[in-house]
Amino acid sequence: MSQFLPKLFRWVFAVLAGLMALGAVCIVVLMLIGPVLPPGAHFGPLHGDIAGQPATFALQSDGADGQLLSLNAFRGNIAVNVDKPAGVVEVLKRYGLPLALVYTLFFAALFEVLRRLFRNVERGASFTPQTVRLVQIVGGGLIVFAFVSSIGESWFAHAMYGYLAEHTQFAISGTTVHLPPVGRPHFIRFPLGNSAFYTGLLVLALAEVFRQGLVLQRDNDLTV
Amino acid sequence: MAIRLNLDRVMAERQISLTDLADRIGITLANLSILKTNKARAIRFTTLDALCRALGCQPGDLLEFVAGDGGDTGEGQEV
Repeated sequence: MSQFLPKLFRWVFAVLAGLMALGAVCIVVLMLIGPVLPPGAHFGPLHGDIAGQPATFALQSDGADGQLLSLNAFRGNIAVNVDKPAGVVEVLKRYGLPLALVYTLFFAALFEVLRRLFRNVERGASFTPQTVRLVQIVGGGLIVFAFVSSIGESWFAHAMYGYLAEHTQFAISGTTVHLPPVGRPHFIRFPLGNSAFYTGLLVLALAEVFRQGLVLQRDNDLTV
Repeated sequence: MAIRLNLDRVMAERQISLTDLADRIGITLANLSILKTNKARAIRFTTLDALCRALGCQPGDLLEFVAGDGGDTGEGQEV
C-alpha cells in the first residue's frame, strides 16, 4: 500500500505530461496550418440555454457578402451580433494559440517534474537533494506561471475585447448598448489574484520543510 | 568533530578485519566503514554495546575527545 499511491501518482502524472505534450504539438500544428473561417461557412441556429432560458447561436450570411455571428437569449431580450466573425478566428489564432501553447508547455513541464518527484518517493528517496530541488522547481514554476499567465491573459483579453468592441452590436430589449472603447485597462489581471501564486508560495514553504528533512535524513544515515 | 572513534586502532590491536567485525556485530560494511573513518554523526548505544562485546573493550577505549579538532560542520555524507 505504501508503494501503491506513489506508483499511481507517477503514472497519472506521466499520462498527463504526455497529453500536455501532445496538446502542445497539436497547437503548434494548428499555428502552422493557420486555419481561417471560410467565406461561405455557416451553422445553426443551435439551440441551447443560458441561465435556464432558451438561447440560439448561429453563424449565417449577413445578406451582403459578409457573415454574422449571432446570439439571442432571454426570449430575444439579449441580442449579440458580431460582424466579420473571421476576425475573431484571427484574434484566436494570433493571441489565443500562443497563450494556449504556453499553458500546455508549462503543464507538460510541471507534470514531468511531478512524475520525477513521485518516482523518487516510490524508490524511498523522499529526502534527497534532487527531491528538494524538484519541489523548489514546482513552487518557483507556479509563481512564475502566475505572473506569465496574468500578463498573457490580459494581453489576449485586451486583443479580443478590442476586436469585439469594434464589431459587436449588443442590444438589451431592443436598446443598443455600446461597449466602451478599447484602450482602457479593463482586463489587467494581477498575479496576486491568481491561485497559482499562492500555491507556489505554499509549495516553496514545503520545499523548505523538505530541505530540513534532508538534514535529518543525513543525520540518520550517518547514525550507526 | 572533536569526538573521535579509535575503531581502527582497537581493531588492529585485536587483529580483526572489518568484514569479521561486521559479521560479528551484524551491521553492514558500509556503516562500519563510516565508523572507522570517523564520518559518523552519532552512534547508537546498541552499536556501541555490540562493538564493546565483539572487541572486548570499554566505550572509553573506542571514544576519544580531541580538543581543538574542529567543530561540527553541520554537513554529513550520504550513505
